[in-house]
Amino acid sequence: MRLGFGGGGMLTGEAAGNTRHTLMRMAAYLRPYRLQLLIVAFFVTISTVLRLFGPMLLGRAIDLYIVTGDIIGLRTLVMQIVAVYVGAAGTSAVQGLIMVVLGQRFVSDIRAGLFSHLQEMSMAFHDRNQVGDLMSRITNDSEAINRTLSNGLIEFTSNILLLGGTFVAMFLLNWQLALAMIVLMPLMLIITGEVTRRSRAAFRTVQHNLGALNAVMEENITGARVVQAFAREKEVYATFHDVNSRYRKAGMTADIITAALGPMFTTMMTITVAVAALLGGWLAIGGTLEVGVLAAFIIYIMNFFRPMRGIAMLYNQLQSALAGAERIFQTLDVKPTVTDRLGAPPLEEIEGEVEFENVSFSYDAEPPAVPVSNGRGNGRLPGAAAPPDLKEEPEPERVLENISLHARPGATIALVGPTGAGKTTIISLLSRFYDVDEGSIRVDGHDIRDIQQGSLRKQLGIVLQDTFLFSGTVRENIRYGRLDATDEEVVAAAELANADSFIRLLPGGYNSQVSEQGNNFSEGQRQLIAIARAILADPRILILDEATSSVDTRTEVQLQQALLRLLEGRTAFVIAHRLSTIRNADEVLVVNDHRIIERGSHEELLAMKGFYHDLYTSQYMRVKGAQPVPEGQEVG
Amino acid sequence: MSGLARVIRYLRPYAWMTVLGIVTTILPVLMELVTPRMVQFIIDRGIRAGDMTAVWQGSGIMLLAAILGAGTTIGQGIARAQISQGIAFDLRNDLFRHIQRFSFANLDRMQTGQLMTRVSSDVDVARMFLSAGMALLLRTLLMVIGSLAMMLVIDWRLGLIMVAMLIISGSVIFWFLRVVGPLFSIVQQKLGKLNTLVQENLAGVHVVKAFVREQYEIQNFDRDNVDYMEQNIKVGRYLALVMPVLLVLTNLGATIAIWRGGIDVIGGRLTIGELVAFSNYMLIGMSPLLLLSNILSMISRAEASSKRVVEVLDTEPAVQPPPTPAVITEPAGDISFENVSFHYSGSRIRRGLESDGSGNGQAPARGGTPEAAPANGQMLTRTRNGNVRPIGEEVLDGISLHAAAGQKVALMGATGSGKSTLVNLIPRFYDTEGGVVKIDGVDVRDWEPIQLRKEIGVVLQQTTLFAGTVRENIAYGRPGASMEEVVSAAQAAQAHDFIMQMPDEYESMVEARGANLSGGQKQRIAIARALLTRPSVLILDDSTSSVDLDTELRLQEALAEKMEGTTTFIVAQRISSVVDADLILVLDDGKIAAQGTHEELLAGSDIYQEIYYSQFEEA
Repeated sequence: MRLGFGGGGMLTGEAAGNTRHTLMRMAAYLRPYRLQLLIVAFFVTISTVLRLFGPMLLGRAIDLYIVTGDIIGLRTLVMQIVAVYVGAAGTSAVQGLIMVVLGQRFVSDIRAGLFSHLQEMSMAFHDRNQVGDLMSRITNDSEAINRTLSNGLIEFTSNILLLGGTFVAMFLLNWQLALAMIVLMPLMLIITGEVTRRSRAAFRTVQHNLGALNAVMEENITGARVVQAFAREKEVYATFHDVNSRYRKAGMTADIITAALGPMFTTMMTITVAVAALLGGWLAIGGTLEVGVLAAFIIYIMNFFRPMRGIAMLYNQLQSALAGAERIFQTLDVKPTVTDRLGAPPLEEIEGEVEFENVSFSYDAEPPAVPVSNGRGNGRLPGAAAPPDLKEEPEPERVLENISLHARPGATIALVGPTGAGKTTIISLLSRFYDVDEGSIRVDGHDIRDIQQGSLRKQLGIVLQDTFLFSGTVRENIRYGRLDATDEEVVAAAELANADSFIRLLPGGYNSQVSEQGNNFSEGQRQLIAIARAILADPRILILDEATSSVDTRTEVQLQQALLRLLEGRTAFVIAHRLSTIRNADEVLVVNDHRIIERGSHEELLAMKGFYHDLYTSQYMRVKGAQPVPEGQEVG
Repeated sequence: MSGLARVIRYLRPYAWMTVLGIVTTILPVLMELVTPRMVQFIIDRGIRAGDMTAVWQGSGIMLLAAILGAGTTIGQGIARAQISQGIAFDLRNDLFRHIQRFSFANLDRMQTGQLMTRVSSDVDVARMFLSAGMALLLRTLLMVIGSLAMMLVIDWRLGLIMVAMLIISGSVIFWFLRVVGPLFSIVQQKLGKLNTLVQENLAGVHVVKAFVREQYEIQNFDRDNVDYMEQNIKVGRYLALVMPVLLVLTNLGATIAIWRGGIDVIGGRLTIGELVAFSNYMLIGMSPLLLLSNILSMISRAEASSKRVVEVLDTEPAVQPPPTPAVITEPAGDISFENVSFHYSGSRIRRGLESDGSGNGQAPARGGTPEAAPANGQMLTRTRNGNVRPIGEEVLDGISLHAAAGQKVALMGATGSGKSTLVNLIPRFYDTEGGVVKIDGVDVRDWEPIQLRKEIGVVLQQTTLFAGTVRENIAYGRPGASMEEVVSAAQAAQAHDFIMQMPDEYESMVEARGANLSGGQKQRIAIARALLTRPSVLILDDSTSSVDLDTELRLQEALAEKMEGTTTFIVAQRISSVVDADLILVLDDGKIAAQGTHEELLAGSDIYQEIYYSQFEEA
């Protein structure tokens, strides 16, 4: 599978890069905190040493003072022990406190980086990736990293220290036996490597399935109204049950592999102890080994294995973090397709002249997306879609062909035509949501690919076909158009959009809450709020894509009068099916079958008796058929 | 601990696994205790006595114990995985199924991101406790109680020192649970907020881009992200502090015991052997206590998350199925409204679940409880259902109408006049506040909701398509439909032609948010989807607003033919969509202002005339 091609890439379930690479990239995020990390390492060393000291001193209490009856010595020693423990607790508190802040900062950096990256991604990327899966990357995958890092780093350091300390002590006690222990190391490494290799794969599947679960959930919670309308609860539940089972299965595999690692080490330890006892016992009976040395040595074996086991288990846990990190880096590696050219200047104050020159475009210019292997969609079997590479590469379907148009500053251009003709695509290209395949688009003579995209869109006020409101207050939603607008300006924009009257009737007025996606408003009301939002932006170029399709015609008539005033001196692109909306345009472009087939003013087009004429008259035919048009209202 | 208690009830199907889990937790502890004893056996009986068979025996038993111990530990791992993953699986299923049962009134007040956080993150937190926390807790308790008993047996006075220490540690733990528990709740809540923001941002990405609000969104995200981080740090600080405190406490107890015990030994009241044994048990018994802080954080996190999970499960769907649904076969589709009134307001959802704050900007908490302060000085009244609402906010008021089977009823009126609300009452997406909606003379509240909705084909105002192919989307209401039926529905909806022009025709993928389809195309797929269910009642809620007039005309003709005998409710803005309706209702401010046929209304209704002229005046 591809690892995301260009910016339109769909994120696949496959891993990006190898372990070392992923670790290095994670380490790069830790770099700003290297001073704190050094401090933590210092404190970990102290607290580990102190913690080792405690039991040793306790042993000395018995041997040195209690047996000899030295109460004063005992008291001094007890004081020392208390001091050691308080010191150990103090240092571990300090290291814990530093690590908490560091770990949380680290993950929050990753989340923030991922989120801003998603903001940069082009529309093509967002068209192809499911919201739920992207959400899972931001929260769940980063959480997987956090889990390991917070405790893992400290435990890891302290275990390494314990291991090293024990090893040195063993070496001093009996270097031959210590060397014998080293022989065991490769075996342990092999076991750890083998187990973690499996768990790595398992954790990957876990995070991947969690993403799929989230995607199904997001879609069906957002679409719950449709689910209910079609009484599809059972089928939707079956789909969920399916991804949920996969997630459970993956989780179980990961859990069991992880659970097996500890006992494996414990078994190895006991076997080693048994062998040592057997061997040592034989030697001791033969008189070549002292019993005391053997006893001490067995204790050291146990001390040696405990941190080894700790390290192995941490390494295993690290796999879960790596699986999360891979998915995050994989997302970060997808580059936006629509980018600002290096050193592109911002678009300064403009007149509002717009030119399209021989523009052609297709949404599939990039390779077709490879669907995520499972969990996507409703009941579609994994791989049910024909693999694109098995087919002849189909000619990308042209959505626009050879579009040329010219809008003088202040002109109103209407786009008319059947659904799917490509009207919305024209304005999506003007907004540079996508880049043209051929030809060019110029605003005030600047090719829009040569200027900063943000500065271009700042000059545009767009009311999109899919009305989208954010949860928050009505006021906040309108203010989204211009963040520094005063309350008065917000109200003025709403008045102009004919939204003020219904907003004032709401229980909370402008402070009424908009629920998610504006579900507590009617579509027409949502459209009026969206228009107010665009008006507030005070753009040079206004784009209205079926902005009033659900607004009743009486309100629309009033709105249009207001819009006429607003449009004065501004360039406007208007897409509408109601021809009454279009009549006042300076130029009407009739789009059909991806091309502009007729152009001219309303009157000119009617006179042409072509496509537009048919379209226009169809609106009246039905009414005429049903009843004679009232006097003086002849169509024509 | 009410939340966790509820979650633990999910253990029931895994009773045998639980028994296995407990047994396999206890066994390895015993096996671990064998090793030191055997080493002692080898030294005393074998080496000291010069008896090689004893050495062999000792080593053999150790090996056996090791293998047995490992076996049981792995068994424990499997049991834990089965139980915890199983419960999490069941919980997620129950949650999801429950969320799907929420009525529109519930959904209007919830945020997808918040719900998702509860289903995935909160359930996982509870799962981690069930997986690791419970076993650790059991093990720790066993070790502590066992060694404490041994210590008391050896010397009860010294033992009492340890008991005192445990009581102090216990109070620390208790305090910790009290303080930190609620904090974890806030952590999850902030995570939910963050999720909501991300979800809305991604769902509305086209608006974000259109208004160049990327930086603003990033700022908002950073704010919530930092909020979440800081809450995590706050909790983390408590955790970082409580562990060293416990460490000092345990070791202080041990040191005092050694000090007192040492004096006793010197005074001859205790033997050295007893003191050594005592201190050994102290080390064995008290060291797991240090793990307790981990377990504690797991418990309080799990409790906080379980509560959030249970909260969803305890939220009653606002629309409840009747206890004994009426049996209706072959409904004709006769619909009547009798004096129906309705308004949107606080439902009976518990506060915690409702959307608080917002994705964008700092919004004041939404009044979850009906006793919210009067908004803008408006008078409040109590409704029949016990909800408080402002006076004069009736969305529908005294609606009575009758549509005979097979009739076409059209609804017109200003934006926000209640057209969508009226049709949403027919499939019982909401329950009426007053009055009755009847289909075939049976109150919709007496219908089995699933059966009711299967009889009604709805095209909602907001078109929602799902990820999948075009064919799957059309066959959404009847997945078993044949390809011919799908095509025929698409043809009637005027969608067939453009579908055939898509790269993979009916197998073409619908992209996220239906991005590869125009608004009109999406609407026509949604219409085909409704037609395919062969409903007795068809509701078209402004479903052709983005369809061009020519196509709409053909659509109407096709519908008239295909939907012959189907009662049709159509909400529309264009006169052309409603001229042939049997009954046109003009809504104004939640009331029926006029009704009749096109001709009657044109002659008699001012509002209708106004609508008419607004569309034809200029012609």
